[in-house]
Amino acid sequence: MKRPPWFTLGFSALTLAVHFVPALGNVLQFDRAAVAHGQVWRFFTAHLTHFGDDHLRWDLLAFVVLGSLAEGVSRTAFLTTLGTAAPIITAGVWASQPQFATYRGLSGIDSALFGVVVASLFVAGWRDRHRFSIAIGGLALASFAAKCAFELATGGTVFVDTSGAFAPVPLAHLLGMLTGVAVIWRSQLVSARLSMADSWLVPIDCKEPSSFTSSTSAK
Amino acid sequence: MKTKSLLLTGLLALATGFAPIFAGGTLTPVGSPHAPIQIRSHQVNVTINNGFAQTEVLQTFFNPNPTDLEAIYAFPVPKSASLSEVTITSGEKTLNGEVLPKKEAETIYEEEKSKGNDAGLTTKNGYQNYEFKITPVRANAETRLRFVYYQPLEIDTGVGRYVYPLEEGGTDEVAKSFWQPVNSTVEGNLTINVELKSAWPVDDVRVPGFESAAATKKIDAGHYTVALDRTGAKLDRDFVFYYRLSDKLPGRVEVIPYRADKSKPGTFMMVVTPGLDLQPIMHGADYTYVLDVSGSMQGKIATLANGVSQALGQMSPNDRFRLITFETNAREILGWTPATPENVTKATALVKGLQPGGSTNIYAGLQLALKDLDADRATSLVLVTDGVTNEGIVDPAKFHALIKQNDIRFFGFLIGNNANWPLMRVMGDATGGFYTGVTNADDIVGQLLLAKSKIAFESLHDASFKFTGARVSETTGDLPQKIYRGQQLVIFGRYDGAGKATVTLNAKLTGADKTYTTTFNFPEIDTDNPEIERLWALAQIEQIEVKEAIGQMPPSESKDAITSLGVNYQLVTDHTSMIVLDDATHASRGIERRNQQRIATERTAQSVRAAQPVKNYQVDAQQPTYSAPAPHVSHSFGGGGGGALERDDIVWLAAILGLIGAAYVGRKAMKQKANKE
Repeated sequence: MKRPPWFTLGFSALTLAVHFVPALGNVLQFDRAAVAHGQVWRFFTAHLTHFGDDHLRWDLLAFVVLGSLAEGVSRTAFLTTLGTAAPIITAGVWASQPQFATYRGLSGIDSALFGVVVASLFVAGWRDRHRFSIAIGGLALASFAAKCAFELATGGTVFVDTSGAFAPVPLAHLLGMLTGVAVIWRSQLVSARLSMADSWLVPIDCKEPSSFTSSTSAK
Repeated sequence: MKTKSLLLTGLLALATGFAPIFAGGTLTPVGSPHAPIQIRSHQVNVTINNGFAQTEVLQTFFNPNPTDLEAIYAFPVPKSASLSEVTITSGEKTLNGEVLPKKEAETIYEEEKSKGNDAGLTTKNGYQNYEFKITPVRANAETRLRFVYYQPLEIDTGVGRYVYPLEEGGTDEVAKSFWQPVNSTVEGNLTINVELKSAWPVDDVRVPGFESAAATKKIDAGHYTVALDRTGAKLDRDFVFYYRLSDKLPGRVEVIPYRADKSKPGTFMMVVTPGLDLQPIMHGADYTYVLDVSGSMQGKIATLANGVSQALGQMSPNDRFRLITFETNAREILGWTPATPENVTKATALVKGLQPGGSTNIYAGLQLALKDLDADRATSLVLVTDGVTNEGIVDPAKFHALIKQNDIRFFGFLIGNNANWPLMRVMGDATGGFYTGVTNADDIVGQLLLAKSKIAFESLHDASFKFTGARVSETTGDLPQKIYRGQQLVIFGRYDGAGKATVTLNAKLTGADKTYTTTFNFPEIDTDNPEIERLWALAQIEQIEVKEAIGQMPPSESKDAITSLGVNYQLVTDHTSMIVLDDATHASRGIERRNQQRIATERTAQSVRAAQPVKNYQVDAQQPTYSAPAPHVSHSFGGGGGGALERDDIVWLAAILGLIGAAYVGRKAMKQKANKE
């Protein structure tokens, strides 16, 4: 039987709790001045905070869906992605987006999980020589990268209304997606050596076989 | 540091909440009650060509009364506008305007009126409005009024903004009682045509509130036209036109010269768009918000409170803020307070409970705001007012002296038309402050973004421009003191002799000296932009007015200087008026036709420009003054960046996940088939 995505649900609950306690948002958000004073936890916690209900709604929905899928692929990959993408995204904003004094939002993490899911599909398609999976995986990654590139190049956004109370940060999405892909890529290097189980998308975690494992293939 | 917009958000937002008082741009009979004069048509043609805008207004009125009338037309004074041309057409007669000393023009008007002759008079009513008197407006006949004005347009953080003012600001009670009730409905067509010709590529243009009604056409990268044509429209809403330049344009210096005669000095307008890598203020800073809660703020307090509550939540606990309100007296409703969540809640409640009333004592508000400043912390003072100071100290010199006592960053926001620009200029002059107007028709969020990027970022201090290598004189705008992020600077001046000139900007940034310089050529002859002379003269007049206001120039000397500039360059000022007569009367009275000659020169140049592609006046392309690109609105959010998704992102994601599911099913089927085989 499929194991519930406990970590995804847990992080979602935590995000909701932070949202409904505004004082927590101020303590956890990325804040340049506070980081300069040594509050480095904000690199990790900024993603749990949001500027308002509208900001939270879609970010959290995407997290629940993508988190569940990614956790289904591999809980280790899911947690590794969260642990690496969180500081990479905020460090990217900190280093190259000086116009932002603060940063909040889960969408960078959503993008990382998207990278995990799509890269897994791509790798599985490649391994099984399933051209449709390769095409969909490649198309999804390419279109996501193109969207981010457009937004970075033009300063505009494809979908997000920029007239709201904060400015969208396309760089966060790009960094997130690349981190997710990198996690899968690295786990493939490991799994290729360890010859591991096949999950519903791609085998990446020999220590924690997925309940979706359908067969074991030695390569 | 976080978003420093505390009350600014609310104060700008409140602009959305104030209802129009009455409309400008209407012709009203003088004397005993008559039927309102009808507006048959109202056409506005705007040409924005690089650094300045030309606005031509053509109106047709109809007098439905059985008797001839004298009538007055009023028009709000746009910021730094030089009214240059007035033509009245009544029946077969066409009357043209010439600027004379005010008394002389008024005398001639009264004499012609008493004789029953056709005449017009245009006067400037301080900062409030231009008044056009017309006598007679013939019974059951049409009268056409045409006037033209020029104004320099600054681009702020990559965004240009042009306002055609129609809504009365309601700051003049006497005028208000005269103009109500008015017929502000255009019975025929209200037409507004804008032609934008920019040497730099333009990404987008917008007319807030008229998006669906206006027809926008892109002709090439920097050339757009916008046409608005409405029937039965009311003249009670400003027309605001925004244009957004492309991102990543260079910081630059542009010089638009005019010199028609080698034996005479040339005139120039220099537009400096600094490419400065100014950073957000990282350490805690202090912000004092000084709010006008006089009687005219009735109905705006709830909007103000909403803005405050939204903005407070985004401040950093390292920052401190305080709230000061003023009406007849000033009071501190919240002292220096760290922007913690608890204090945010407290401040929001305080603002929600404010009760508007009383007169307007701006001085008292500023006086209180400048007490108890911490010399070790950067302090910004944000003043928002929709009124005219009419209580307590009203002498501009006292305002100047008060603000000059402290090294603060001053931000002024004037709400509505007919606002007190001269006083704001004086206060800005004291510390190199930044000030701007906000109208009901503005894109308030857009204005907020621009304001925030100035308040939340560091600025250059002790800034001054110096010209060497050419004899440059009679400059204005060359001592800005402070330069804020995204701010464009306009400098006017005169030059003797053609040849190389070097302009150097010296300033300080967090204590370190900064120097930016470039060398360029002043041309021997350049006749493309004769309007530059009028704009230069108006800038001189504004500078003289500031000097007089702060006591650096005696009123008599100031009056003489302004009269001389007004007559020589044909500008309607506080000391000069435009008498509008037919050619024969001008001749019989021996009035020199300076304006006629000037207009002919300007029209010739305008025809040439219209037939040519727009000219780029950048002078530092070969030797860039700035290494960084010009700040752009797309990078200007001095506050929160958010990793954000929208509904369409989710739709796109759902589609991708659907395909992934299909791929999974397909791959699984393929594997099962392979296993069976």
